[in-house]
Amino acid sequence: MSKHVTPWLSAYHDGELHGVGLRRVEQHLAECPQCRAELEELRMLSVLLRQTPPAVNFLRPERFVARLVLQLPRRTSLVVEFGWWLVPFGTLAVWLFAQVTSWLRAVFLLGLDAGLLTNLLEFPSTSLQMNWFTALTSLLGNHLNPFVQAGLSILNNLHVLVVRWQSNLLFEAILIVVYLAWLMVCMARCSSRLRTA
Amino acid sequence: MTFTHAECEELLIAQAQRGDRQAYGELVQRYFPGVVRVAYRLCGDADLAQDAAQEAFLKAWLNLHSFRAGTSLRNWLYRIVVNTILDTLRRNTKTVETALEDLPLSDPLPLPEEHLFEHERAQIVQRALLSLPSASRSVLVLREYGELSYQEIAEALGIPLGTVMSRLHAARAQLKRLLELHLTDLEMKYV
Ligand SMILES: [Zn+2]
Repeated sequence: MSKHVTPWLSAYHDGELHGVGLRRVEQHLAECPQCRAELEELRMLSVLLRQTPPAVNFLRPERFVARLVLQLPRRTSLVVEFGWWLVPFGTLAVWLFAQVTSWLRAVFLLGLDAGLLTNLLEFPSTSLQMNWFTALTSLLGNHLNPFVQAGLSILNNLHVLVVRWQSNLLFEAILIVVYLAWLMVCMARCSSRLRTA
Repeated sequence: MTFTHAECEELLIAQAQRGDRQAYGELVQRYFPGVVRVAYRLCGDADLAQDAAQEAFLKAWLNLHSFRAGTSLRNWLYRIVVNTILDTLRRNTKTVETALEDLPLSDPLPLPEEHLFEHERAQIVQRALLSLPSASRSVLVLREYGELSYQEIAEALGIPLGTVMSRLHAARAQLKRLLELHLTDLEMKYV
């Protein structure tokens, strides 16, 4: 008679033996009452374990689900999450871009005014004109003496400066409002997440 | 149009992955009995088992995007709940001991004799399970109460197939010895 197959009986009982291993155990079982008895004990053990109800009662599935669903934190998709973090970084990037371009433009205009770049680029060096200045010079252009004309030109340039400064300020204010709004929503989200946790 | 069980489950998983809580609720309702049964057999405490089930379902909800379609959601949930329970037991080694002590052999309520027998048997079985080392207990519980294959157990616990086989063999041998002492007279009544 072949060697006892005790170590393989558990796997045989679970239907997890195949091929040569399976055939070897089957052959041995056919000729060994001792291993057959052991296999029978394994079967009885499984029946006992599975048929013995737990000594306690659990929540009914519906009640468990009702309780759980209330506690599920909101889950956002990757796209939404990406868009969410784009807001603060995007705001900062736009602000930096505006700062850099406005400084570059200032340097460029300074160069134009000083006549440094006119030879380099075929650029007419006309500075910006406000509506009132354009109207006035086209109406009275020939009748004004050079002294008054220079005075009006300075007034025009000052006006241009103020308008630029105002639009810059408005632009920065919008960025700050966007950033603060994001910060507030962020804080609200964090506190609600803490409550659900 | 009717869906098969598997198709219906795939649909529910896809909906849950998009953030549909109702769909996830249906999946939870389907798997709660199995998950809580496995958890209870591992720790022997109903409250602890329900808490672990809840933690496992929350973890699964948060990680649902990493769940691969075509694999078994049930096995994935079992893996999470087993790890949750084992973590809890590791953190608090007293739990199993108190659970063992908390299992009184006689119920304070007068039950009909048949019930008394059932109750006593349930407690003896659970005590025997708890006295196994947690490594072999996990394998046995996933086999007998989770009805997982050896391959699935190996994947769930992250151990080699051969280890599953040897631990299961050892767990059953030990359990048989323990229950033979307790169950001889009960078995006589039962058979
Ligand atoms: Zn034999």
